[in-house]
Amino acid sequence: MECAEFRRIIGTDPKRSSPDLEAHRESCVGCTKYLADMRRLDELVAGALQVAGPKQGAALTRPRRALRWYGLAAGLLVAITAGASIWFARERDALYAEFVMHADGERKVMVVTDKRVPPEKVVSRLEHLHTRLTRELPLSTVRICKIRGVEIPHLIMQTPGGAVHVMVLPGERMLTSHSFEKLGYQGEVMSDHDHLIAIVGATRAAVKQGAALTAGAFDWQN
Amino acid sequence: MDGEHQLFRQRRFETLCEPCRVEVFRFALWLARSRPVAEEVVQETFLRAWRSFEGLKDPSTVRSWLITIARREHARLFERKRHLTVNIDELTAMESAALADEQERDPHELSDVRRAILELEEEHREPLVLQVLMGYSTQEIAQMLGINEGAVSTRLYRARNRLRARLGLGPDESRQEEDDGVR
Repeated sequence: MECAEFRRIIGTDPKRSSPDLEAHRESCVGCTKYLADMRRLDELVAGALQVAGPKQGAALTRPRRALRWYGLAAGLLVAITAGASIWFARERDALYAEFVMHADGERKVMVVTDKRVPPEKVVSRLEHLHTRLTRELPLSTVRICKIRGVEIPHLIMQTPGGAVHVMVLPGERMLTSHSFEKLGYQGEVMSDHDHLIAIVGATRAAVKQGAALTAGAFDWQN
Repeated sequence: MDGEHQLFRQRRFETLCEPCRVEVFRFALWLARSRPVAEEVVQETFLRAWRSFEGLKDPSTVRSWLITIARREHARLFERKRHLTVNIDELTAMESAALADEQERDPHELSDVRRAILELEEEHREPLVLQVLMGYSTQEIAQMLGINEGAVSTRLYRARNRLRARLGLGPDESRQEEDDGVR
């Protein structure tokens, strides 16, 4: 075996071993060093690649820099604001993903239909979650589903723009409404009293109509 | 899809895919060279995976299936955020702070190695990460990257020689081959 061939094989995979490779290594000081270098290099690379996994809401860590005190104070304020923005943005994004994943799993019921769930059936389903509707909504499906381990109302509502998913998460708030787009779905999450209403649909128009129809429509009784 | 089927699907997804999340993240991080972008890649990857979960026929291939989706998502995000520039100094410092068991290692050496890896071209960095971090064979890497095994071997050989030279362990012997027109 030639040195070039040996180095090519070892450079591709330093863990490779064969009688031919061993025989060449024993007869060549340069290739023995090359093999040792490559194995050492792989140890270093393997160690360097082991970084911590994603952390929910982890703020970005910045390298230290020498700053004057006033600069430090201003920098700190900016960092806190930026960190908080990033944290909230990530939390929100994770929540949107959960709504979309759930809606996508039940996409077969997101169809335009004249069928409506009778109001008494809506009342009896929602009673289970100690909630009720303050007005009648054009619902074609009413289900109790789990999001983040919490049982929530999952409704399919017929709007002039098409059917939309409506999911209501109690005990959560946001300062303002947010629109999003994921997996080809349009969505909007809005805070309403002490719960969040998520509308997920195929078009922005349907989602906007869904949001207008459901604002203030839920009354939580505990 | 009824509630029971949906629950079964969700549990199966969580059992098979969730254990791979950290590994997919690490792969995405070394590919994207940005923690926020990697987190976005992972989230989009798991959404896509959830949507096409029925397409996973063999559960034993779940990790490489997720990696393949992550590669596509990274390419898609990169296309959308191509204006993003990577600051190697900042990234190296950030990852040093985020390392799991830094105290057991020489931080300067690690920092140098990380910087050298980050400075590799993507075509060299990606197969190296797949081989060293994730333990894939050259054949498996070839399948994932859609190139032949010979090309994977060449990229790995060049990646190690570039690192060897950058870390001052020896000359980059692959340069001569490249100069001779070997692909």
